[in-house]
Amino acid sequence: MKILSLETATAAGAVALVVDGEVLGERVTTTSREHTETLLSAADQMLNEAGLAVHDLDAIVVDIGPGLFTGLRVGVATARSLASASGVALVPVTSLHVLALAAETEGSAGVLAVVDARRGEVFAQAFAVDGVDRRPLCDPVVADPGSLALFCIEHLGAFSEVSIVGDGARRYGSDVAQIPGGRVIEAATIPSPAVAAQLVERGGEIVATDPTSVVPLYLRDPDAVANFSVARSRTTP
Amino acid sequence: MSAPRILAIETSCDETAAAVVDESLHVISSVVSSQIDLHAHFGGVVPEIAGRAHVELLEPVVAQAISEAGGSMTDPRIEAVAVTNGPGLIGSLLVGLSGAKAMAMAWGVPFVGVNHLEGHLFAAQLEADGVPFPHVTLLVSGGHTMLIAVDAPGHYRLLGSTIDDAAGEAYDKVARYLGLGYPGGPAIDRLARQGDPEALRFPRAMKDDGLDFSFSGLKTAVVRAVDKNPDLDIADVVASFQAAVVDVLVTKSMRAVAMSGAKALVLGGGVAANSSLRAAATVAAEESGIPCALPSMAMCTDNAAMIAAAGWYRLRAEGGAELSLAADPSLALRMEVA
Ligand SMILES: [Zn+2]
Repeated sequence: MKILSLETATAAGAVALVVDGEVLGERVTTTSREHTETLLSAADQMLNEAGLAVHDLDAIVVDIGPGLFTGLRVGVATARSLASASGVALVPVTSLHVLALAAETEGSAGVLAVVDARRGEVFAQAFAVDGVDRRPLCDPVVADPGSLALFCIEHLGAFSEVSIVGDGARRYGSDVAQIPGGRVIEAATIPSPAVAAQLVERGGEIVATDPTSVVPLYLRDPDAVANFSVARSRTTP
Repeated sequence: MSAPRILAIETSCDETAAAVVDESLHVISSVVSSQIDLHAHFGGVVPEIAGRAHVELLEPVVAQAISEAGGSMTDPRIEAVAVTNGPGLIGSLLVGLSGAKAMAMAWGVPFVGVNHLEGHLFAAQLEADGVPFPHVTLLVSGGHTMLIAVDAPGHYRLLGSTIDDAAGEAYDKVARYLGLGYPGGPAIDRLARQGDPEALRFPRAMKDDGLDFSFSGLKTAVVRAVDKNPDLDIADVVASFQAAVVDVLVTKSMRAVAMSGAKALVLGGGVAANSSLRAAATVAAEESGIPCALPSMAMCTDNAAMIAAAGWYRLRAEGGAELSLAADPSLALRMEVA
């Protein structure tokens, strides 16, 4: 199975080409959010080196977030356009799920994935280890970092140890330190597109999603909408 | 075998647009999906809302343009892809640029970046049979007010521009102040027909000298007049406001024509859809014995067919762009020294 995987949810952009489980290439293309300048050039180069064209692929995998909005739009617009122009299957994954896969844990541990959402907030989700996969224990949320300890007690209270992954763990180190049984996995800060591709490949048969239904997972309304509804709720009795 | 075709994509502001245009600038299809309804109750374009909408609309709009031209997404029957890479809202530009690169790569065809303003300069070429060169284009929109000498395709000289607000911005601000809704241009144009353009004498800033514009004082004058006399007929106010805008735009356009020896006056940009400006420019050009090229309403406002026309020119002049091409929210149009 030949899979091209695109990653733009955080400040780092990355792309991977995975063929029959083997990672032929994984490149972090930028750390400065210039995803549109680097992403496709890297993908094009990787495909050329492997002697492949876009339509030879079995799937295009894209991280739909949650993460930084502008980056997500570049990744999702790129992946949707590649898929609809080639007819190759498009498979969305979430940043938190991919990060959770990077936590090398003993079977008994829970996993907390935390992504920096800027403006003093984080995106977070709790997972349980399920063989090689990670099973979500709740929906992804946008949260105040100070509430993460309570969030873990609620969703991961059954585990004596909690592996913590994602760039939010470093950014909000003192809040994360309050998590009972918490252990930060330093290496896992950026969702790996190769890991995302392997996740999809392990699922066996590729289940394609209609490209036009794949949209970024924002978890937050645009500011204008939020401000507008606040203003309206103040004026309506 | 039909003539080579280019697919163009335009997402610089709040319109998601795609078009297929052949080598001789015949428009095969042109699709524009406007987001006006999404932004209307915020009184202006909200960048984050625009970016979100572009992601959802991009391929449906492209697919429609391609299918109206007899192709399909996996068999598009096009030879190149052109896309606006600036100026505009960065979050909006990035969606179209990323999508265009990806489609070009998947189809194995070259792609080229186009300056949005150069698109507007090419719009008249799509409809009029041979607008003569050199000509002067008055480019007026919500973001720009410029007089540009177009000596030949690709050869431009900036003759004048606004030192503060764009003409379209003045329309939006006055409309917002008077509670006429967003966008302001069409609302004022409609209401002005019922008013007396000579009821109030608003200032014509910098009318008598040079080719630069200033519109911020005019907006202030309108606000002051209405504050002082709340019983004024709003139709008279907007008719008089519009008369001041059009007077300055047309006077300076004809001065630019005279100074540069232009063989035609061309209008472009959203404000060029204004009926009063179109009428006044036509009369003034006629009096000077030169033609006035007025693109249709659809070609004045943002669309992708004009990007395709400029794209053909750029592709021939410079070849395709690299996949690393960046979006630039303040991309300048390359001008020659005036
Ligand atoms: Zn425009």
